[in-house]
Amino acid sequence: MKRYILIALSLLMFTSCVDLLQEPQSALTDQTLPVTEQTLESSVNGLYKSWWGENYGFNCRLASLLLAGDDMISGDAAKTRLVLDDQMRVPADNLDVAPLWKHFYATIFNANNVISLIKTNPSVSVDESNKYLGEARFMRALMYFYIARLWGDAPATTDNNAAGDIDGDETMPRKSVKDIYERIIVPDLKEAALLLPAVSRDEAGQAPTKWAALTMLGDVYMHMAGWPLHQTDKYAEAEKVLKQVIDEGPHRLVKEYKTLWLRSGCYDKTEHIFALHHSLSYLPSQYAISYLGYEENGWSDYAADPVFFQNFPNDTRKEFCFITKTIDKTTKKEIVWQNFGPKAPYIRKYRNFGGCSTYGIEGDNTKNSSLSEGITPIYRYADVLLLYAEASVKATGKVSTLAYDCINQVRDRAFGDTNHRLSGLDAAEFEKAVFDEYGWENCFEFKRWFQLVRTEMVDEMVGKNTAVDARLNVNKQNYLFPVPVRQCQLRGWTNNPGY
Amino acid sequence: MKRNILFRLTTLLAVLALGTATLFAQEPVSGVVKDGAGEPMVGVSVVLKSNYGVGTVTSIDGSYTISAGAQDVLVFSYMGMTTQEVKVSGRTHIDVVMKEDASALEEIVVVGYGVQRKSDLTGAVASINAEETLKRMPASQVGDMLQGRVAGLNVVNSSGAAGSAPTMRVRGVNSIKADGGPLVVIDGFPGGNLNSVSPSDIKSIEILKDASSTAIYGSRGANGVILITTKSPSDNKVSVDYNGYMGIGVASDLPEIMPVGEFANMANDWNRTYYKKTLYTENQITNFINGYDTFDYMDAIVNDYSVSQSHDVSVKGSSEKMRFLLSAQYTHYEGIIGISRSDNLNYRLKVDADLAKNLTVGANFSGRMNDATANGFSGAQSILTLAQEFPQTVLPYEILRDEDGKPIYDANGYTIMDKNRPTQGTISNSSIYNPIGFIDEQKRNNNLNQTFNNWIQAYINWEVLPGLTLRNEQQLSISNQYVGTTSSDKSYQGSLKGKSSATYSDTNAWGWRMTTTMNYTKEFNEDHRINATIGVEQSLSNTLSLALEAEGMTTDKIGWKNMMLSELSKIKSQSVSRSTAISYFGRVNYVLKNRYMVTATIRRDGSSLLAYNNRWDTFPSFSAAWNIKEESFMENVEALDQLKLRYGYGVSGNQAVAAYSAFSTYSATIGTAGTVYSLNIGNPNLRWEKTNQHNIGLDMSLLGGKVTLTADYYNKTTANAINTVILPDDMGRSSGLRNAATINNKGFEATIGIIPINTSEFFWKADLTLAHNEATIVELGDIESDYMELGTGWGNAFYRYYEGQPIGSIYGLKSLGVWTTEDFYNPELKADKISPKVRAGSYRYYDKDGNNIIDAEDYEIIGNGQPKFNWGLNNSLQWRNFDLNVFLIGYHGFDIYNYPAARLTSQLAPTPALADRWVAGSNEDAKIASFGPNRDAITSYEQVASSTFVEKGDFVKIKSVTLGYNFTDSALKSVGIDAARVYISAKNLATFTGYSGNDPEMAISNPLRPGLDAGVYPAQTSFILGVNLTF
Repeated sequence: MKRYILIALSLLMFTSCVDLLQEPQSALTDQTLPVTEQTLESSVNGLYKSWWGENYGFNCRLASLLLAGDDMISGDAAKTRLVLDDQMRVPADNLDVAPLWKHFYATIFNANNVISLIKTNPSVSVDESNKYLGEARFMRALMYFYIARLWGDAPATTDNNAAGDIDGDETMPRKSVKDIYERIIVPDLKEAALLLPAVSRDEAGQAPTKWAALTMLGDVYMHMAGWPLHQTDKYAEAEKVLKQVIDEGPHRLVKEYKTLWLRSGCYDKTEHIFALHHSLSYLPSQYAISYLGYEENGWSDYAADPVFFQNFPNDTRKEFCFITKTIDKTTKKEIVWQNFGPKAPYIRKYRNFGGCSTYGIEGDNTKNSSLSEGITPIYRYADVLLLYAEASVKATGKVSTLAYDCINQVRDRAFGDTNHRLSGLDAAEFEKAVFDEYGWENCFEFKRWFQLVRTEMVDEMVGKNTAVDARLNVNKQNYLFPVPVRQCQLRGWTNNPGY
Repeated sequence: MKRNILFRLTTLLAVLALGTATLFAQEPVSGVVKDGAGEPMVGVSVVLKSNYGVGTVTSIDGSYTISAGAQDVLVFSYMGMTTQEVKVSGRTHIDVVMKEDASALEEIVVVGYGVQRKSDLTGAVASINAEETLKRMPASQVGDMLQGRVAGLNVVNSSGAAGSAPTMRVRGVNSIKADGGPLVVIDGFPGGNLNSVSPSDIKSIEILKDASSTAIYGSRGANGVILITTKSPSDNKVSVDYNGYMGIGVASDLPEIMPVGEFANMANDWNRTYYKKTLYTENQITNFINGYDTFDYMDAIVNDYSVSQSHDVSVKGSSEKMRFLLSAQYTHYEGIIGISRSDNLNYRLKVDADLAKNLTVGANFSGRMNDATANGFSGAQSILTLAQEFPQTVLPYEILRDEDGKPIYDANGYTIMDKNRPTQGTISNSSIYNPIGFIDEQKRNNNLNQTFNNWIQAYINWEVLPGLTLRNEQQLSISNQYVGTTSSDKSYQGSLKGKSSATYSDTNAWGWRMTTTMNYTKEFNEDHRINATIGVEQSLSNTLSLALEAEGMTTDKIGWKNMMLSELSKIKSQSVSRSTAISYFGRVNYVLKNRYMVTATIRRDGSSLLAYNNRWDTFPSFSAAWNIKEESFMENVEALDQLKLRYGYGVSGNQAVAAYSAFSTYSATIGTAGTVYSLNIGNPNLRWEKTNQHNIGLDMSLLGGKVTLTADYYNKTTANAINTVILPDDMGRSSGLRNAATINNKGFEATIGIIPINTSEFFWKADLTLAHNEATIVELGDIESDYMELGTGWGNAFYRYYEGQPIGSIYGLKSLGVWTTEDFYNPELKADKISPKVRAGSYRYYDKDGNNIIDAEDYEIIGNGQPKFNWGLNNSLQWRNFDLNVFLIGYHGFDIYNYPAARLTSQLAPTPALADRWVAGSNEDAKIASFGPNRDAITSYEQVASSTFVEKGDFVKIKSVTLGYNFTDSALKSVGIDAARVYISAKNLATFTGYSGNDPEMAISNPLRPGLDAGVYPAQTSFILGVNLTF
């Protein structure tokens, strides 16, 4: 008997009892994610994180790459990467293009996923889900807008598994800029404008509203009308949507220009229509220290273009935006910009809360840090006014009263008086005035380069500062940046001309 | 007599491994050893019972001579024979007749899930006698013991930091993602940790190298297997052993720094060329030269000496029905650079009891505690590289200044540094943090990094019928790791956000494993015997981890210890995971006429790690051996003691992925406005990595064991190797797991043992291991490119895996030196057309595609870091009571990318290499470009390697020299000591190399990207004084 018990026990030892089917215990999967308003909000909030990317992500890389414009120069001749960005001699394996491309497409992927979640889960009421659907489409449009402007033709997918592009092509060829605008960006923004609420769902003002969607749509039309598509009929479309924002929207200019970058003003939604907000503990920017010169214990990555500075009208914007003298950190003596390392003024706009010790414009004077808080403004009401003025004159060939009113609102605020209003200009003069005003108003806000490209003014404007030694007059090859070289290899694409 | 001959090889090996014969200056005792048939026996081990290290081996005619005291006891042992103890009792001639041991006919070796007669082995298995090895080179870690001892087991030191473990690989690179070294099996329980075993507890180590030996471990065997057997006392007594050593070390080789005056002048040149101004006045430079306002960073990061000590005590004993071993080992290290400390405690209690004649039970409780702290030492934040980078003219702290900003001086005219304000930023690049700040921070912040591992194991062994045994093993493993860090606002971390921060994480894991095996061993007659095993194994493992982070600590002193005392604390991550596995396996070993032997194994593995549809796979193997010496036509070849040919083929696998890799999951982060999701995509198509291996081997013994040779050739191919490959970003993520490549490793390895001298006074044995391996990417799999990267981590950018190329290909720009004035203005070379722009004195790169643009399209192979050949040579000499051991290793045929040199020469750093930079007209042959704009088309030394900094890495090292003395005085006995040995040892005594950077050995420690000098912790030359005592 004992023997049989032992044999039975032995057989038992040979049986197996563990289960080979193991599913994630502490993570949500596509199958287990409950689609509710809360999870949709979390998923949509994730879009800002993937867009920001990392400490040296979106706002750092875009700032570096857009040194190509005429408002900023690299702050140190020994920093090769930034010098090459400034000179528009960006190498194909440059460290700025690759992260940007990556973060944009990661955001698109996540946006496509949110859109698919909402569409395949009718359990959440449309009232609740519409704002997230609109937001995801807004973000997808924004990412493609950056992509089309920086690289031109690019893969275009709206599939939540990224299994194929908009034509179902699994090889993901580079789709034409025209396709990207007409088949993704414009429909997304039109839809977003219908879906998004008029008031941001988010206290901090990060989430877009229908006004943000319409403003971007106006900007998109301006780009479609300019280089490279030259669909000049789009000026009228731009005029129409921007006028809607002016007439129906809640946004107005704030009284003082500088408050837009101060802690007190950066969350104010009077003028800020859409912006990326940073905090030290979440999505920090590395702004502050990059804009400080070596004399100020900073990294001297960027400085203001001295030629741009000299052509800048003497208004409150100039007073605020440029650092023309500073205290040397070692000698404690004042030095003027002609004696700064880069022989150019430094930039004040991002010296906001924290990180800049005594060189900051507000906040804790004692702290010196690499990361900082602050704001990356994407659209302000000033953009709406100036884009409208430009669209209007370009669409009609005439300068309307509203167009004058738009540019003069911006100038009144800039000069702090009404003595600098424009009037009596012909269409060409007005176009030129709006062109300059847009550059000054938005200086260092990573918009100038895109304006120069769509208006085909790169060589003329960048060429003004010969010291930069920029790559000019190469059949507009410098209008686009190189597609990250590894991406070309993985997909078998031909890179943009000139790279 | 046939059996005796059959057993010769293994006996010889065992005896040689045991070491060797030293004859004491006592009365010589001689005699002849014969077997039961009256035939003289060769290779019988004769040792003194009082000191097993002293002994000899009988020669061809069975004779032996040994020096022994009149009171000594001689121990005669031979595999398959009963060990005999014979008292000398003043005699000078003792003949012995060995009798066959019915219970232990054979020397047995441990193989997977069982034991085998050593002579019946058909696979490539190397055995190491741990006790003897440890004596030759004191080591507190098993890894150190194995370096250079086993051909095909590549052991390379990865760092000189306190307590760092070496990298171990069996026969090249078998896997990319799971390149984690061999599976460790301790006393039959797989999944052990080499650091958890005290070397002096180990009886023997077997290394299973070919797939026919490892296939029994199925999905875990592809990286080779190390089997460790701990000591089990057998004599009926209790003994106590103590082994200990203490050592001090000095840095073997430190980088040179440019004299400060020279550096200041160079800084002026830098500033003139870039910014059209000078930095330092003549006055300042004179001051620097006189020692004012300068700081010697290299001197400040290096400690005067390092400390190492190891102590282990073991108590073991046995009675008729019980055996036990109780041991503990404590090691303590303090490193040579910065703050670097490691304390380690290992413990073990092993008990075996015979419940009945056919029933044995046992338990093994073992564990490890480790507590370590160290400065960072890799890549961009290596304090060694930072110390070479940071200008001596920038002080590590801000100096005290008066209200007007003027420096305050002390009585001797020196400025005073404010130790609370570390400097951030050098002259040329502010983003660098000074290395002294890192050291201060390490001193200040009470960081915690503790690991606890415990294994509780038990077995029951039941001999159901004669020859048929049933065994059940249970194992519970528990591990805990606690990591806490506090970073003050002055620290590097603090400088990011301008405030203090803290992190705390704990990872707790437990696992259970049960193995049931049934073994049948039967000798039908002299001509046939069979050894068969079948088994089932199942396991589950659970991991629970939690990480917290906080910033703006209320007080740094409490820091991570209470993270609620902060401005903001939150959960950084949390995860719970479980994985399971089930395996069925079997093995048959059949031997015909002691000449022909075959082994076949099969294992079927199921794992929860892969997608459910891909969870099962099967791993078969087959091997055969032919003992030629047993053939009748070989009988008369007197010089040949042993000749055996082996062939094996097998498949082993690798489930090289983390749990749930097949699933797409949402990861959550806590943001400012609530939780944030991002989607990470899994790969449900992942399959097992499978390694097919052929092995042909030869075992030979000549001239009565004076020459032994084991040689193996292998060819193995790993299909479906899993890697994290770079994906097109438009797929939504930049990298993902793929079955990405097929890897081939081909190689030859040999172990040669020679005893050139074996006299009664003097004994010399040399062991040489030779190994050649070539790891190649045969083809790329699930990846849309003609090459792949290793992944996205630091340093991987320098390596690319192309089809047909060897692993370790360093990619980058081929440097043609520096543009000379003559070449630059030579219109045929069109230097003015090159983009990015160059000038005379710029680096000049080969424009491979001839489009005048120097970019990624011009990259090519500029070196290979995979050593072609390596060897280890161990010389053991004994003269009377002295033993001397000299151990050397060498690696040849590989290149190193000198990352520190590339980084240091790219900027204004006090590195002497910059002194030799290009100067128009006078130094136009320079390797290093002159300062000024357009200096270099390479925009980042972190991303792109230049062949300027690729050098030959070949080296030879004197790894250790150990001199020992064995006390045999009967005086020891009177104080209760049975045996005693003292020794001194020098480790890393010298390195012979042409490489200009740090220790070349460390550059090859990562087999996937060999040849990358990352500026790691430098090696030390250490001197050790130790003692072995047996009570």
